[in-house]
Amino acid sequence: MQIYVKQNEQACLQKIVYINLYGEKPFLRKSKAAKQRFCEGALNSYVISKGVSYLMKTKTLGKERRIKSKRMKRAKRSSGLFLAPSFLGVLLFFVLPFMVVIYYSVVDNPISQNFVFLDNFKYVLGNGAFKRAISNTFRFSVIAVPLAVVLSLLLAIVLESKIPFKSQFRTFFLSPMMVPVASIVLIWQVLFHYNGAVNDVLLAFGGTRIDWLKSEYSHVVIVILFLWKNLGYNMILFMAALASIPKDILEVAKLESATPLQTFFYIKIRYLSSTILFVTIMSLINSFKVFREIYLLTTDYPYDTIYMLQHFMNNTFKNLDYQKLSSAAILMSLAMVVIIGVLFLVENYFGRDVEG
Amino acid sequence: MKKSKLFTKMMHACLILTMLISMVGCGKSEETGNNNATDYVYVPTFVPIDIEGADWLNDVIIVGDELYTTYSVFDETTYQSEQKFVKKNLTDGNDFTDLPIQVVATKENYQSSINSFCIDENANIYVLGCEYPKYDPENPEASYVDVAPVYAVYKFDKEGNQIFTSDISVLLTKDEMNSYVQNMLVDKNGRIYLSSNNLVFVLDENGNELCTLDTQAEWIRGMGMDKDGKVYVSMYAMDYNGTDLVEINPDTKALGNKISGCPDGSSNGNYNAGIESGILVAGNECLYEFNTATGEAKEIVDWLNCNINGNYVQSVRAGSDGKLYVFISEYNGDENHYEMVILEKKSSSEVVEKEEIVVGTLYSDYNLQSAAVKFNKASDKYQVKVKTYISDTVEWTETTYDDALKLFNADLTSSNCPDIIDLSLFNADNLVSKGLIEDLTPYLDKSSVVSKEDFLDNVIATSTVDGVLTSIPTYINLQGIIGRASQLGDMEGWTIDEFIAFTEQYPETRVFNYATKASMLSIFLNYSIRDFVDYSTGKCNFDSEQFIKVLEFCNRFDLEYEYNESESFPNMIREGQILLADTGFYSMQEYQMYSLMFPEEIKVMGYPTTDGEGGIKLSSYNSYAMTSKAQNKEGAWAFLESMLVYEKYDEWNHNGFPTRKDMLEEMFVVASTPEYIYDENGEIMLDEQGNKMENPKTSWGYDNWQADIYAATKEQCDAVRALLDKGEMTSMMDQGLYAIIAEDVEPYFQGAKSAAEVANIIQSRAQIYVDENM
Repeated sequence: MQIYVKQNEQACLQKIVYINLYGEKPFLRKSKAAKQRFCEGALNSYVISKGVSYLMKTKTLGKERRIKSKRMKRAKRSSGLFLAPSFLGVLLFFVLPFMVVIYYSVVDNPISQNFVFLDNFKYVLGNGAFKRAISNTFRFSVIAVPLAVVLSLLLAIVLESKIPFKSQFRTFFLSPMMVPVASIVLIWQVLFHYNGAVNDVLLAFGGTRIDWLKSEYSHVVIVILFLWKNLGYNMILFMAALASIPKDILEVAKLESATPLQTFFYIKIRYLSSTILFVTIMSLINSFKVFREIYLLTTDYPYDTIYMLQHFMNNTFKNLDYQKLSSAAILMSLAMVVIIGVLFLVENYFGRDVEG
Repeated sequence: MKKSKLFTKMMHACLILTMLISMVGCGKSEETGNNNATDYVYVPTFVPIDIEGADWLNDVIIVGDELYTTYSVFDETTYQSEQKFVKKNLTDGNDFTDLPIQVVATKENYQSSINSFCIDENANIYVLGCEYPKYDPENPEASYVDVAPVYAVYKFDKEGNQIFTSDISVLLTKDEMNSYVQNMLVDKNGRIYLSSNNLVFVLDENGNELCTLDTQAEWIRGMGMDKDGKVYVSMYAMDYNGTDLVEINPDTKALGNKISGCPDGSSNGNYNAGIESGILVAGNECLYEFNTATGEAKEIVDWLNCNINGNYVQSVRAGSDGKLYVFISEYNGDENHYEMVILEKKSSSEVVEKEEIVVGTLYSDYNLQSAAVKFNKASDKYQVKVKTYISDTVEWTETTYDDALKLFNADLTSSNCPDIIDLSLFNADNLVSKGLIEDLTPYLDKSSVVSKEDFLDNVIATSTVDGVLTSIPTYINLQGIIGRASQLGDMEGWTIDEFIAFTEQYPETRVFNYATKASMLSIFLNYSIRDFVDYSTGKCNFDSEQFIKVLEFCNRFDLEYEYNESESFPNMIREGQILLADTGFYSMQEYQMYSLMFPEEIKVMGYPTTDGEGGIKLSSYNSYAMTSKAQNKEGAWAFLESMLVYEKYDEWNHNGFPTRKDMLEEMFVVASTPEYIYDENGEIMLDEQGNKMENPKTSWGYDNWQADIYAATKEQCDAVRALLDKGEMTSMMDQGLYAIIAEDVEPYFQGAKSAAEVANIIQSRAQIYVDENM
């Protein structure tokens, strides 16, 4: 049996976990690294034993031994110095402002600063505009994020296959990334204005005008805009991840007579799990940022179906309602923490057998 | 190996040093050149220029210690104006002395005047004189015969002895558009420059034409000579808030390249040499030194720090003694007051420092500056400083206002919060709910000079939000709808339905002059907008039948009104072609004017409301609020209080009704006191019936209609008093709602959507707005 082990650069003891590709119970074996062939970082090698494919997982068992030499101390000191600006920056521009936000959320206003505990949260949770913003943002994210992930993955797979004009298609899907938001909005206005191009086409085919930006349809327009803007970036991430799937595993799967669907769901999806998580989180964050496009399209008070959380925050900021704004921001960040936590759990579950 | 370590250490050190330097740089404030930021200040000395009988003073020029000026005296019996040239020594304290400088008319029945003058560094005086036909009060028509005036340039020595005269009539009468000389100056070589509408005439040292240069400008703003003796002509910039300069080169007889970035000034268009370089430009807020070589403007003096209202500054000159001479002309609505302010540089330590009161506003306000100057001059303890969020040198773009307001908002909640803010920019309800506004009631209660009872009750009531008296506006105007009393009947107010029904009684009559769909909507929503919102539940009703009905009524009018010059609004009113007039009243005289314009008794109604009550709209001015974060509340109140105190109505210089009851009553007294015509013995003249002959207080004109305004009747005063009592001020929140409605209703007015469709959209957006503000 051939064993390929990640090279142990620091001579640490490693635990080698063999996992049957078809889901058999893994077994453990201890070994000291010997062979030179390894994959960079924490990627796994595989072993083939008696016609059965295994994945090998390595984990560091012991704590890294500290070398208390002068050189190491100096290195730590200098690395501390180099880290300090970033650390200070994060502290100054992220941590401290967040603390201020927490403070503002529990006082009646930034001037008199009377402690009101959770009153602002109660007020915000009972506010009609906030509830509408939460509902719209949630609805938008639930529709747009999965669409962005699935469509970009499909596009990546299509562009990975042997089709003509691959690079042209890639450029086409990436082009929205290069266009400034203001221009995108202008294009969208030309298309979806009441007297815009889309309505002209509708009229030409005997349809009636639709007020795309000031009706229930506005949600559809914003989802399309979001997808148009974000598919290219997601697609590139997926294409990179697809390219990094070890070819030999795919070859083995082929040898094992796995169908393309089996290869996709049992190998590719598992290898892509960390990328899917990343793309989902990025899309989720971008879905919150779609406010920018909506604001430029429809100003600060849009049709109620596209009134997002950031509208609420932007308008409350303009009205100097810092306590409302802070409470809403904290509620939003809590929701984000929960959503991202759930996504991590999902990724851990689906990608548990692939080190990402 | 050692070398490598040394290199690494050096690199580390360099990086750390760079980082530290950049961090230090973050907090460094830029030196602005403002006298506050340096170790010196300009201390003002005020020298009044009182010349008995002078109606109008031209520019004042300082050469050495001598002040030169010309003034005119109008003789009401002969209808002739006489001009005099005088000088005054600023150091000896003596009065003005006449100079024998006169422009004598050479033609019979002609009179002469001094159009412009300038003085060179040797105190030689150059005068542009003009001769034109005399005004004959017996035969006024004959005075306006089309006779070309005679123009000549005169040179006098400092004693007033004439050196030469040169007739330049041919030069100035070539082009009718360029016959009036705006500015005149003389350079170091004795060459004379005259600027007209868009031409610059250059004369040699003997007054002969050297060249005429076309600036291609629509309008020449001014002319000036910089520190290096170069002469520039300035023009209004088209793409920013300032002026462009172009050098005049008499040697090449050509204009130089355009120099952009010069701030616009409040002065009369004459620029003088800077202290160190370039030229001095008097802005509304500051004095700038504009460097003509680099195109950069440096702030030299903040006018308010020197107790000067920048709006009144006519010209500034830098003396060789380091002093700045500022000529001020202040018009108080009745007469001009002239003053020379000498600014002397002194070390900050020599000047007693006063406590600073900061007033935050978006841009320099004429009334605010006047109040601040008055207060600063009177107070030994406090100095009011106006902080403008849109500087007078800032280029106006679409976002200028919004950006400035954002910055202002940010300051309100930070440590930069001004002591006093201009409340007209904000929603008072919102600021009160944030605890940003100090309640003025305790200050008013403690005040020994004003009390709450001194002011109109409804003004105090509508300025009070949740028990907080936010501000006390000093003046207001009222807006309403005027109609014939006979047509309006007993109605005291009207609902929307009643208003529509009233107009439908007169289908052939235009409802308002220049009425459009948008203006009608504005009239309807002025007061009833809040009726479409139930503030107890936060529910909007903009998709209701009632609102759709309003939209449909407004849609009956024209989208845009085509102005017809031949139409006369007063004639149409008198002939019954127009039913109502939507207008604002700023004084008693406007009410009197409408009373005369309508052929019968008038009645002022409010805007339509849901319940038919009220509707008279009040707009407040000079509404300043003290912030709860004010560093010096006592000083802030002292300033606010000073704005509320006027000893007599004569001091009143605002276009509106005073909010102080005593002042308002005084206004009614003044308005209702007749002015009579007196004979040569000082006796009131009587007409044929033996009635006293009344002199009109003023005349008001509207289109081709004109009316003399005499003393107001008691009924007229009572009517205006009642309207002021009934009026209410609208809040900023209504403006936000109105903006949404006005935007969304447009497609309906354009015929693109139905009333129900736009009502649905308005409901959707307005509901969010209301929810946010609940």
